[in-house]
Amino acid sequence: MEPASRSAGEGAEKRRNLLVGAGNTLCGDDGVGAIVARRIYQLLDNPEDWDLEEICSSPMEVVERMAGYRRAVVVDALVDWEAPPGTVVRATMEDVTTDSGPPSHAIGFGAALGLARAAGLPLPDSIHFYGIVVRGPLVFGAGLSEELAARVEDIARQIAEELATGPAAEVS
Amino acid sequence: MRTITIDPITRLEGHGKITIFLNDDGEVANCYFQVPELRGFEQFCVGRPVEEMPRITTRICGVCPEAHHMASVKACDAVYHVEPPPAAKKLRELLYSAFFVSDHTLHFYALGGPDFVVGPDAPPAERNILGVIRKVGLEAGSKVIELRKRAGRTVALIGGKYVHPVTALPGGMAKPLTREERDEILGHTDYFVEFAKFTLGVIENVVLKNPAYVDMILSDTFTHRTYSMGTVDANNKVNFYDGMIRVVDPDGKEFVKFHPKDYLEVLGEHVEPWSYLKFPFLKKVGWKGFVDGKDSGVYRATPLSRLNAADGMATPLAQQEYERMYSTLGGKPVHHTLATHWARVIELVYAAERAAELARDEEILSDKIRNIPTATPDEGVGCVEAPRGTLYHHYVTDERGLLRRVNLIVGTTNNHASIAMSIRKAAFGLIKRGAEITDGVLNRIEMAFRAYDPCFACATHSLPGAMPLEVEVIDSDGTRIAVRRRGC
Repeated sequence: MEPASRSAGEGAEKRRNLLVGAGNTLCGDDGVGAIVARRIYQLLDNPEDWDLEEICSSPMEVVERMAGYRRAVVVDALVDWEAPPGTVVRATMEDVTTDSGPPSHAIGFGAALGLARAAGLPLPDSIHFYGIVVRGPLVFGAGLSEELAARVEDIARQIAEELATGPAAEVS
Repeated sequence: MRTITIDPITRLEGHGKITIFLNDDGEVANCYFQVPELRGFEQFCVGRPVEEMPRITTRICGVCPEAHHMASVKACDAVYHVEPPPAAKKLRELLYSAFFVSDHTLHFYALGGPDFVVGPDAPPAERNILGVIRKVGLEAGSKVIELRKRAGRTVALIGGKYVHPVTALPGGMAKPLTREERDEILGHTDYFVEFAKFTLGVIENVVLKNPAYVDMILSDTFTHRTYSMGTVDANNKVNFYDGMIRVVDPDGKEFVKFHPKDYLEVLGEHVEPWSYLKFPFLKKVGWKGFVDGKDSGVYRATPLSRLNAADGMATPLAQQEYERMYSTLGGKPVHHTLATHWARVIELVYAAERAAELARDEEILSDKIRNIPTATPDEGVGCVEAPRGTLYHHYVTDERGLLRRVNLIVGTTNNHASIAMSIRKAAFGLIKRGAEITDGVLNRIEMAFRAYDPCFACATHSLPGAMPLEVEVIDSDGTRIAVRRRGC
């Protein structure tokens, strides 16, 4: 039931890279980010350089957890009615806009990143977002829809490869 | 360059929707506030061991997992008929106070604050937490980040994790607090108190010194005379973790005070065809529709309601500010919805002071933190004050502790009727015949909604901690003439 986070624990020295699996694994396809991130972690050539965190929380927590890392990669579920489920949408922190006005319950990634920057939080040099398109409505219960479950391996391998050699690869 | 907005509106299917219908004269004819509801979470848990609930239910909402963790473990205590030792209760309350400080801080600075600090008519791109920082000063942003870091660390030290704590168990806690951990927490809780004082300064200098804002708070457009609900301690002071639930009438007189286990005797649920979410009301008064006043069973359970329902605050600085708020706003009770933001800051002060008190209590270091349950499990209700209202977890199990029935009334559900009324009244008050429906007007209508800090993710048990909102205005021909959408 608990997230399969692979960080060294609170207060421990952080590794260079943070892999975030965002989403709720109790809400069906909403958990695809967490499930794919687990698999990516298994596929990494250098897992000793990475911390894996599963976060089913607001973007503010995700951004706060990035502090002190050199590189962060977020894998999350995304609703995009124009794209088929399993499509991977890529974005970097430069692509993320601030919220268009005050929200009602939790702030978005853009505002959270803006606040962190303004407050001088030591953010990673690079942040890459991978949004995996899911089909709504989301359901309760563990496990992905068959359609998406069949894509997990392929998506994880694709992202793991990009983390090693693609645009999201570490800049030395 | 392609711009991608990654916020919950791109993630979620279910969302809230405010629809305003205009008549032939361009005046408001009707206004509906709709949210989807899936009671799936309650169904999903049936058949599971009840002791798993404190960890499962933290996933209902990504914003307030600590509230669900606490209400759930208290329900488990009741199911197993076990009383946690004093040190365990204090550890739970300390964790919970740290969470409250953090949650109320984020709401004031990031969600509610922009309307007052930056202004309701400011361009949407500026009406956010970055606008607040520009106005209040860069140090505010640093302080918010530092506060949240320290609160998160306090939660992690006691609860085992920054988010989604795991250490509360039926009968107590899983681990005691070491002296080193306590000493670290002392530094954090002292920071909470200093931060709370800083925030009181923001309220004073930015909000109260602006007559336009004070007039808006006091205006009839944002006022409803309803019953007020909140948890109180033995002295009728506000308490977030434990106590009796007290309801006062619109004049401030005690209407009922009850143990959480009796909530079904006090609360009824009204159903409307246009909304999936039910509307709780006070059974003894009855459902009279979306109206306020003493004859209507509509009540509110918000930070302001908690202050109205109590006789005061249990810590000195919070009590001082409590008295100042009522004296400034014309006496008790206060029914001005936008004053909820001020009440939230007073609660922030109380949570900070209470955390500092608990951290200094030597009993919190005791290793007697759990009484092992021995009774046969059956049924129990757990209740805490979540930041956005009274939260009930009600479990019924078989003799093996497997869940047969789960019922949750979350904070926002309590306020469903009053949120609908507040939006309706704001729409009627702000949309005038022939006048342009500006972004500022729509934002003011949304302010009526935002003051409640609504979490329809968990209120509808639909999705984790975020809810997109759509406001649309439809003229008498059925044409949509204005619309705005946002995340959360």
